[in-house]
Amino acid sequence: MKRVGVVGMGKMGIVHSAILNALPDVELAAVMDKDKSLRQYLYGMGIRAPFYHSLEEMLGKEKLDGVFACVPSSTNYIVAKSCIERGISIFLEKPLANNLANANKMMALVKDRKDIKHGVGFMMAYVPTFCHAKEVLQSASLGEVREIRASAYQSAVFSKQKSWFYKKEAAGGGAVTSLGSHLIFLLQWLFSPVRRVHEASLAYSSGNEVEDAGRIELEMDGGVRATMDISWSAPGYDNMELDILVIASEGELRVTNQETVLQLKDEGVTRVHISELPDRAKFYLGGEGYCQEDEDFISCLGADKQPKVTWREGYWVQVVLDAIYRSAEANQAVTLPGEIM
Amino acid sequence: MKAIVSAEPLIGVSRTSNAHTRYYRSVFQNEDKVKILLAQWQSLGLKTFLCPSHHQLLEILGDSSRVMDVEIYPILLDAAQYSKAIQNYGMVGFARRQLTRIKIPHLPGIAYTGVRYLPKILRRDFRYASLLLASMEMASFGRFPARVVFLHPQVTDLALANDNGEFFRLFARFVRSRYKVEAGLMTNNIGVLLDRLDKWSLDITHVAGPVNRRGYHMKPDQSKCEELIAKTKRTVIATELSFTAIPTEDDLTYLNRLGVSSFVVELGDIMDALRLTDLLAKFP
Repeated sequence: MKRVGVVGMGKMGIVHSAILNALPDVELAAVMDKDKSLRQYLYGMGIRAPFYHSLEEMLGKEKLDGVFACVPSSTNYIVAKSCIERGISIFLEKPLANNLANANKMMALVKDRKDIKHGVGFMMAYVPTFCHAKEVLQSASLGEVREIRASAYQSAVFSKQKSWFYKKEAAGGGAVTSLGSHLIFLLQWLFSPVRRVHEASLAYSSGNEVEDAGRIELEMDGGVRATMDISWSAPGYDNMELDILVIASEGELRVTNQETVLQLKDEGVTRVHISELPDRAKFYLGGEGYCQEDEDFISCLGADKQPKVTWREGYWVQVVLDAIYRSAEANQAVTLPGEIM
Repeated sequence: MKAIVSAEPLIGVSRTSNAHTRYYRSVFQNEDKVKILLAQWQSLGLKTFLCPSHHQLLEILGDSSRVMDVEIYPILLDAAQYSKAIQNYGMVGFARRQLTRIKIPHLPGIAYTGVRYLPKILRRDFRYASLLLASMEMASFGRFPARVVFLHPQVTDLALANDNGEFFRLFARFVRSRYKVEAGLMTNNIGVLLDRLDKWSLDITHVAGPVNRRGYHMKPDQSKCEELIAKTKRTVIATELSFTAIPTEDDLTYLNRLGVSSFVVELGDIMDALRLTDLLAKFP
């Protein structure tokens, strides 16, 4: 039985706590939030693990194998440091950090620490359609990839908001950090590292500190161009929708959260809906992929393996995010350091 | 076989895909068009709707119900909508919006619930705060006859994951005593829920969740779900039955085999409704 704690009992903290409660061989041993008044609220919800309002107290009193941190990105480093110093493995909600400087510090924490398992919440790696797309791309039937067009849309933000999520310092960014990071992760996971941000333009429409939309042109390793169109203020997207179109020498592949569509030259269209793909999750809460990413992280505790998405992948995303914001600010191309991969 | 029409497409929401959402948003922009379509569906005998407590939607259905009978299955406590509303309007603005929508005749009932559970609500007990919100939502369904009231899947599955049978017991007791209706649970984990309801010995009469030939979203797995559905005495309503607009004959044969006699369907236009009624005629 693995003993885990959850830090930060906002929406994602509640979702992870509930999933952990639903999984076998896991004990949700402690939850922590600075807001003491949440104790009774969580209890009524059925989250009965001991409640702490101090991280140090929780880590001092409870013997934990792992911690799920669902806190503002700016505090990821503080939580991670406290856990890793005690030899506790840690899963972080994405992105890895609020800026590259903190991400660098975090990577230093896990350097040469094989005992620490580290995961980051890019759950698209567990969504069946994207897993299927990876298999299709690895089969090489598409030939040489020529161009990638990607988009991420959601109908979420249309006015000024108060939450930390919309503050540049706490969150690190807006739609590009929140939605775009999923695309950046997928592009690098499905294809190759990003080498250069050619152009990035950001749009601000809701009155928040952070951007509401972004249009970005990237160059992948090997010279393939990829465009990303991102908005969290797009009407008609109650649920976040990611869409990646791959144009290759032997055909095209389109992949979204819900289906993959493969069209090879001189052949018909093969459309595969998510319902036709294997889904190994034993429970569904919060959306596709959340249960599997938690299960994967838990399975790594005490084992000689790391989860599918580690901080390393999270760090690659952070480097690209940093380059995008620098490119947008300076209105010029930014080349990424070659050695990070 | 009974088809329960999801009312969500009428406000531009689809559980099937974002593409359907955009289609419904474009088709159902005009309120008069929606009313005409509702009348057409009703004339074909499609009068039962699964409906969230959406202000505008209930106004439209209310107008239609003056002309023809409609039966509504309310869905209560859509946590995502609450979260969005609080994000957009703040807690105070959200509370103000909720309160201003309550019609005067319903105020005493809500006040009764509020006063009855006040100490627990003030102690931030999620369960009793949920019952107060449920009573506010039920007020908006006041004009419609309802036999069963459903809990939204997000809330059901959150309580299920946390092994919070007490919450379901409170909810069922509350809707039965206060509204004289049965309690239903919508879920995305139908097998897990049916199993747990039996273990808790909970008298929840209706469960709605994914049941389909592909086994999609049938948790923990398709064979376990089929086994539990076939033997349960509860009424099971299939959601996510089909991944095309209208289910096929094979889909309904599958339901028949499991002893499931109702399913939820999204309709986009009159042709969908005609295809559906043709299909239903084969499964009297």
